[in-house]
Amino acid sequence: MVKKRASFRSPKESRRNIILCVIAVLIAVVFLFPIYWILAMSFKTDAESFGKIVTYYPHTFTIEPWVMNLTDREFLSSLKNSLLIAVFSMVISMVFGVPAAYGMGRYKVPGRKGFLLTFLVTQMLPASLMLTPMYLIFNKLHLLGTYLGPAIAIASGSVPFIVVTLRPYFKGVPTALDDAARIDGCGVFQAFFKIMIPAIKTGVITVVVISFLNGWNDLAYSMTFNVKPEMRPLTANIYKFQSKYGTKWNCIMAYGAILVLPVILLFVFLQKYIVGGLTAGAVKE
Amino acid sequence: MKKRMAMIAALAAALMSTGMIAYAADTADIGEPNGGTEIELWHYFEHEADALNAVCKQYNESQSEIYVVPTFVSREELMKQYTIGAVSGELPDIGMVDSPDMASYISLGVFEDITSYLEGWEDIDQFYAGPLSSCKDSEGNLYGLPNNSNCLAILCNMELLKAAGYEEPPKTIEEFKEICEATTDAANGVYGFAMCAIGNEEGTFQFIPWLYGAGATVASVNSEEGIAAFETLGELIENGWMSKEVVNWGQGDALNAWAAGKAAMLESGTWQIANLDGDLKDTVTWEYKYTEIPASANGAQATVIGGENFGVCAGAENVEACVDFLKFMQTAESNAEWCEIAGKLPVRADAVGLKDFWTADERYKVFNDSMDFAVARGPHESWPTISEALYTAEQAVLLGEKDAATAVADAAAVIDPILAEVPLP
Amino acid sequence: MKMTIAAKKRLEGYTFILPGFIYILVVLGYPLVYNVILAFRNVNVKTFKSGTDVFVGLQNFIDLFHDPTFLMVFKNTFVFTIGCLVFQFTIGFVFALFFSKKFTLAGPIRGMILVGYMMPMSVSALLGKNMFDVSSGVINDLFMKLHLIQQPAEWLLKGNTAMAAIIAVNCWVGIPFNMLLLTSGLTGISQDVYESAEVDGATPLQKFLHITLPLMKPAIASVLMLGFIYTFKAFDLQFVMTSGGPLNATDVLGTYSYTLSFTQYEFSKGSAAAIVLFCCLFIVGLFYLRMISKEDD
Repeated sequence: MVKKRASFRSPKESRRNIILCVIAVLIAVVFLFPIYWILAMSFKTDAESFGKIVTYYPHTFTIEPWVMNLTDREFLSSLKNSLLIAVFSMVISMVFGVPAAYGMGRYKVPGRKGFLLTFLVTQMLPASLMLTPMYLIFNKLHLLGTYLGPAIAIASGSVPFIVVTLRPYFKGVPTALDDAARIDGCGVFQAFFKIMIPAIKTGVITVVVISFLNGWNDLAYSMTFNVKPEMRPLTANIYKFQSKYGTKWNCIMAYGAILVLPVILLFVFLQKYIVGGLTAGAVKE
Repeated sequence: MKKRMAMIAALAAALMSTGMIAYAADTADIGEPNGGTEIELWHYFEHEADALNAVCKQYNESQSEIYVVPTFVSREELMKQYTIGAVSGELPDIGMVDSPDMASYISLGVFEDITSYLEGWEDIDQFYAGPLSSCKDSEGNLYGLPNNSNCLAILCNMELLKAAGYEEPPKTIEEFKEICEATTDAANGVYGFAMCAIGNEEGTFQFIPWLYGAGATVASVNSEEGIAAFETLGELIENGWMSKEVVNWGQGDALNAWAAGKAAMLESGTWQIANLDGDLKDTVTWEYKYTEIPASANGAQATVIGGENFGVCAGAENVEACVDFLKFMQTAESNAEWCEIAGKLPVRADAVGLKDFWTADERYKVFNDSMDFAVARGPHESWPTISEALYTAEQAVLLGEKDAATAVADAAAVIDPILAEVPLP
Repeated sequence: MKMTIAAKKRLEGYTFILPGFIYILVVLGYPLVYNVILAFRNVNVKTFKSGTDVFVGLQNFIDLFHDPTFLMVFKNTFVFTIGCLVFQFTIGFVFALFFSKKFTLAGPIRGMILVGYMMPMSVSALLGKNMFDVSSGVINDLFMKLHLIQQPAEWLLKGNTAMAAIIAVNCWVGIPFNMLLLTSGLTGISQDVYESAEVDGATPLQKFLHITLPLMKPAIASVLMLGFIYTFKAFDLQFVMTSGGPLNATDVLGTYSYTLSFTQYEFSKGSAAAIVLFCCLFIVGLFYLRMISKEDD
């Protein structure tokens, strides 16, 4: 952070800074237009949102779609459910995924290619066709109607992701670090937690964010394994605004904004670490 | 960093409190638990949900043996649950189903044969044959009871029709086309007609009236009349009287387009009257009229039956209790009352006479009269495949990818072998 | 009895790997076997209840590959995946490099772009459907105002444009995803290497080709591999945005197998289509593994 805020003293540097900023703004305009569109739509009336004329900002401003979403009978419990499912699935993914990535990145155990292949291959079926057989397993294990069911199912997609993503990171950590840890008298697990994970902090944060998002954005697993309304996540609302009574664009957009808001906050909060890691150069020492 | 945390906390608190207020104020009223065995009922009623809760409440308070708990599960999700439930055996006690889909679910073993439980129940004779047949398997065994019916008619924006010089809605197909042409105003994005031709059951539902109106049937789709049906709709697009976008519109989207003034006429369903009286009340400021779907000279007038059934699911522990509730829900009185609240047509002949709702309201009267010539879809266990062949052919013609004759031949290639094995009733 | 150091190391390795491995095997292994079994039988609406389904060998696969719709879906899946990967990866990489430069807005804007990735796919798909609408979509309106087109384009009504629109929406989500993974890959490269290269007078292009690319190779391989898997088995986007239409033009193996199983109750055919998808991914997976093991040895 400190480095980034450094002033650009020479004229050449400040010109370069301005040019880069202009390019960045142009990129942002293109990428953020859909986000603007979501917000603009979410404040339009029903009639304006499916009207004949495309309006670029709400001509009649209304907060009705937001109110409809936020005052929904099940909003509070849905929010809680989404959070629980996302956190559970994130924790499960990390617990199983990170050690596996470490083991595969740093140990030349026999059969490691087989392991890697299994991690890759098992998630190669479309999720929709996993629903029935998973339902059968969860039924046997009495996991239907619990938060654990969807969390386990979602994590089964995140674990291979973590393994594939973090494995190269662990591989890249210099062996000198292990040796140093050994000399300091760290046990294997101590070294893993105290040295290895901090050494690849950026990678770890990235997979934390992504495995959280996998849970937060899930619809299929959470709906299929928990039918009770009080167990449904926020994403289930998508059906409410897209039915035989027509697509309620303004409500859908408000719902999208509400869904993404907590995640943005989380990310703003975590980005500090990512940017921090970026400028520090994680493996420099 | 502390500030940021505080901000997040404040925001979360604000969100939570908003939710909390709403949470306390608004929970479904289905009557206090009466100590009876709980029966789970799954449905996908939306604006009708309150009416359904009221029926359950009434039943729950009338006795103390059975406690019915309705749960909303969106239509798509519900269908998925039935399919998974067919494999796992985990199903609710009572489930709602769109009438043309029931035959497939009966075949898959999702629903329980309740014929013996209904023996001696004289009311069954009062049910209309069309809706009741959708609850039967090919041997005539019953797996549930129909709950309500609906059909399709043409909804006209009279302001636009009058501006084009027509005082009354179209009566014949020629008149219909004439008005389509006269009301189309390309410069202002107004089309003469809108419908739903989306690639799912809704698309087939809206296509059936045109097929039968042209004198063809699902079994005889590969005929001159069948080709003519596709050509009629294809022409609407070719002439610029209907937007090609109809292939992406669900029935609700088509209604929204009509309500936004993008079309003068719309193929519209019974349940949409409730929308016109409800959330579209302020949007639709013009005079409108319903009329029966016009037929061609070669065909008889036709529309299509839609509606939902309630079935007792396989593995329900107390089938008798479930049947008891279904009977309660479908007495002439409650059927009449329910349909009035929810804006539907009754499934029993003796229910119609109990209220003047369907005859006094001119709009409902059009639908009620249309039921005389409404055709059912199936029932057939392979209806989803037949349906896909129909809407695919329709879309191909509307998008100009195939001419009507080719599209019809392709559809028949799918449909005919299926019907050769198990014919339609 | 004392273990040799090698044996002890092996045990340590297994201790780390096995919990995750067993977890995956239990949760995902059974569904895989389940679908494989289904794919070789003829379970459908007619045989399901009576249990009269039989082993039919490769018949389901033979039927699929004689079905013009399936062949089209098969082709679509590749067009979609390759289309997405090309744009997602190159643009994502360029962005990752661009935003790793030090300038005032680098951090904030990189963060903002990521918002697209945070949206659930179902919402992004609906957003796409709305924006690419012919008569009331903002993209047509904008393009007309900018005089890029004269007539409203029939985006989701024509096969090729619908595919382009689907790819565009997927890229809106995929570019930030690739950027995020590649950015954190870039951070793994020590600044010292660049600095010493600069001392040797290396141009930016040389630095990219001779330092960044080789050092990023493992990260690039995993990003491409994961990107391929996720894109190839995509479902939500097509299901919500186009329902696979117009006329199957955007139908992919993921949506097609779902339709077979859950709409037409052709359970065996649906599983067979999914197994075809699986086999394609399996081959790509083997390539990835070969690439990895070269770097291993």
